[in-house]
Parts: sequence; C-alpha cells; structure tokens
Amino acid sequence: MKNFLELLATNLSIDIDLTVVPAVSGTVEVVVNGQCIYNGTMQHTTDFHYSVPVLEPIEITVFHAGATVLSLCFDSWESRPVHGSDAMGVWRFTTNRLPFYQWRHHATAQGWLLEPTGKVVGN
Amino acid sequence: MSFKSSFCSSPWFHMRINNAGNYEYCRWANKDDRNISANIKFTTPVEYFQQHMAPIRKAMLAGEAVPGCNECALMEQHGKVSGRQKQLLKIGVQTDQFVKTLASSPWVSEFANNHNGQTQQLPQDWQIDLGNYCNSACVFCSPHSSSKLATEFQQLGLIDQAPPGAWCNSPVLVDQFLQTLQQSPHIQYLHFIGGETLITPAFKRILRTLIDTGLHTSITVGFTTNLTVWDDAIVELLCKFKSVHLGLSVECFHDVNSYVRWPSQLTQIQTHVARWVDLAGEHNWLVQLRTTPTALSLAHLLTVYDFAWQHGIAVESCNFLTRPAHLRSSVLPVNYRTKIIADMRQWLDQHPAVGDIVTNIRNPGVVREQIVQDLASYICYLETAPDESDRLPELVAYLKLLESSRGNSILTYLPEYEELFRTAGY
Repeated sequence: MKNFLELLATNLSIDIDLTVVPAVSGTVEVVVNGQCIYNGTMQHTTDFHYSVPVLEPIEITVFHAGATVLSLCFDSWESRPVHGSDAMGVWRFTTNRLPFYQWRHHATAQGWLLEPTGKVVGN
Repeated sequence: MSFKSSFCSSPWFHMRINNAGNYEYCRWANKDDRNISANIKFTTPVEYFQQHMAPIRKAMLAGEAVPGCNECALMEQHGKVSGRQKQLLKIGVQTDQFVKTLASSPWVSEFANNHNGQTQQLPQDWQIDLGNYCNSACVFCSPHSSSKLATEFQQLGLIDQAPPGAWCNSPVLVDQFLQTLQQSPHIQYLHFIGGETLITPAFKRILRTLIDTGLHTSITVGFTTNLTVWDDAIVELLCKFKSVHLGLSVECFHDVNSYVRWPSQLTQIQTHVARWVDLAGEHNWLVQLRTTPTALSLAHLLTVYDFAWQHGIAVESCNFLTRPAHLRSSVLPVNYRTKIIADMRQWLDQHPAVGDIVTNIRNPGVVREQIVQDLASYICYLETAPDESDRLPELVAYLKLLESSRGNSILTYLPEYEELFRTAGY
C-alpha cells in the first residue's frame, strides 16, 4: 500500500476463529452478527471460522446447555479468557456497537482515542 | 518507505509552539529551520494549524516521506516506541495491524475528505515550549533550551549572541495563546517544557488561567522538570487538574548525573524525585523518568531502570540523541559498548516481564513490560548503531572547554573512562 487512497479502495474484513468445547452432549447454537452459523448437537470440540467487514460491530452469542468457549480469535488475536461472559446458558461477546478495532483499543487499555472535531467555541 | 512506515496522524491533532514563538508541526520533528516558521506575533495558532500545516498532511496521505521524521524512524528501527507510533495510537492505529486499524479509526472520514491538506480541525494535543530560562546547563543541551548554557556559550565564544527571547515573556502573546486554548473545545493534552518549567513565570500564569477558565477539569497537563527546585504554589495549582503527567529528568542515579546535568547535585535530585513520586501517588498522577542517554551516562543508565522497576515508573526518552553528535551513545567504542550491553542483558535476565509489545507507554498496568522493552531498545541500538568513536576527540575537546569554565573534570565522575579519554586528547 503506497498511500491513503489505496486504503480506501481496499475491502477489509476481520477473520473470526471460535472454538467451542461441549462439557456434555447437547444442543449448541452459534450466532454471529445475527447470522446462525451452527445449530445442532455438539459432541466434541468444534472450530468455527467466519469473517465480517472491518467496520461492522461484532456480536457473538453461543446458546448452550453446557459448553465452554475455549478460544475466540480476531485476526489471530486471542480475546479469551479476558473477554466474553457466560450466564444462564448464554455465552456472549460484544464490541458494544463499535468497530472491532476501536473496541479493542479501549478493551486493551491503549489510552486516549481522539475524535475529530472542527468547531471553534466562542468568537 | 511504505505508507505503513511513513504515515503519521499527528498533524491532524497536534502542534507545537517553540521557545521563540514559532510554530512547529510536531514535538518530535528534527528541523534545522525551526526559527523561521510562522510566529505567534504574526500568525494565529489556528491559521498555522489549519493552513500552514496543509503540505505536511498532504504529504502524509500521499505516502511521501516528510523531512524531520527521521528520528521516529530511527527509534522504530531499534524497537523504541516512536512519537509516530504514539500519535497513531491516539487515533486507534497500531502498526502491527496498520491497515485495518487505520480503516477503523474515527478519523478515516477526515482523511478521506482531504482538501489539499487543509483542515477545519483544531489542535487537541499541544507541546508548549516556555522558553530557555533554566538554572541547569546539561552538557547535551543547547542554548535554545538553557539560558545558563547560552550565557556560558557566549563566554566561551561558542555563540555570538543569545537565542531569541521567549514568546511567553510577552503577556500579550500569552493572553492571545490562552484565548486560542479556550476556543478549542476538545483539547486533551498540554505538555510544557522549558528551560525549567518550575522557575518560568509563564508556567504558573498559564496554569492559573486554565483553572480560572475551567479547562483544568477536562484536560491533562504534562510537564518536565529538571528536579533542581520545588514550588509549593505550582504543586497547589497542579492538584486542581483532572490529570497530571509528570516527567522527571534524570540521566542516572550516580554521581555522573551531577556532571551531565551540571550544576545539579545528585542528592538534591534524589530528594525531589522521592517527593514527586510520593505526591504523584497521593493524587494518582502519572510519573515517568525522562532520560537523554549519552556516551557519558550510558554506563550507569541501569540505575534509572532499577529505580523505575522498584517504584513502578515508566522510562521514556524523546529519541536517540542525535545532536550534539559527539555525545551520541554510538561514540563509545565497541569494547565499551560490549560491557554495557552485557550488563544490560544481565539486568533483563534478572527482571523478567513478558507481554505484548507496549505502545501505550503511559499505561500504568504494563509498566514493567515497558521498562524491559525500553531497555532492550538501547541494547539494539548499541549493537547496531555505526561506530562513531572517531568523534571522541571532538567530545573530549568539548568537555575540556566546558570544564575550563566549570572547574570540574569528567574523570572525577567516570574514572573508568580515563584511558579512553586520554587517548582522545584529554
């Protein structure tokens, strides 16, 4: 990439890799950004791969009757075990409506994230 | 140089006003012509930022190399977090995922709507140079940053005239500048340097005005002090700010610090460091030890990392010193470097801190990882920087000249370098 214009002309996506380990044999449903990518009986460790456009906020939900999300990688960056929460058979990860990399900036304590502003207050 | 290696976001939210009141596009940029750019006497900060800096922004977007950015490139080459990396991080960009993080930045639309580099943005991150009024004359400093050194240089015949007077000696210009700050609604950070900030009257005045206008509740104020003085009135003002970043300038906790940062005395420096660290702890301020490693201090640099490790304080330097050239660490011959490298490696072995690369060096949660990473950058530099020991006679001549007015001797502080300096003409 030689300049900013080339960046604008590039389609970018985020690779998501998810590993789910069932503790007991049971039904598991995996939903990524509203898209069901798995719904069935899971009997052994299962890997999933999915990708989303780079600016799309990410929501991942795993409905289960006894399973663990062992690994959740975004572009090879491992978010587990710090991120994601499990309650009442629903495991959930969210970027809180932010593009993933903006979310990661905050989630990994990268300091200020300045935003553009162009207004002069007063005279 | 690739776009990934050259692009910097800093010109969209940062600018500097130097001691003479000239504006600069970057606090890290290395420029020879820094006193011929637009001056606050004739140009407003907003005009300079929005219009005069347009060519820099245009060049950045086009992937062109910008003059003055070489010091950041040198830092990145040796694994030290550069100013460019710090400024990119402030818009969410990390160099290990450069393309995707840039595409995800809140600033993409601003970059895409490029109007030949002109912008309607306002500075959010300022470096404010308060003039060269200083009670120290560090051997690596310049008359532009130390009035004491300027006087000495004139007496020694090294310069004909003193540098231009400080812009902030003019109440009118200070008022004009403060009005600009008040009109900028999203200022995040103001960093002050001198001279010595604590003895520069404008520092106190600006802090007071920031408080009077309510800006202290929303901004972070940072400054660097040479640790020779204490001012309760300034401390009282600082306590009112939302956030304070404190830079403590020290080269090493060894007597050679008193030679390098002449005429300060190590015992006084240690007293003030302890006092600032305690105060910072009480108010949750961020503290950093600010070093400028040179050929004279490098052998005792580990004392800084020892202190930093024990107290959980980060270590930061603006760059690898390039000027004056005879004080660069690379002036040390290979056999001297080898011993220092071995000591540094041993220190790293004894102080393990494994983690991801730390770009946000002001994250108190990863201080030890930052310390280790920063020290490793000096090992890399000493292992790979070209041998410049041919500058040793130049260094010795310079030290002898300074010593002729100061009445001291480097050999008192660094007796282990006697043979080295004697063979170079000491």
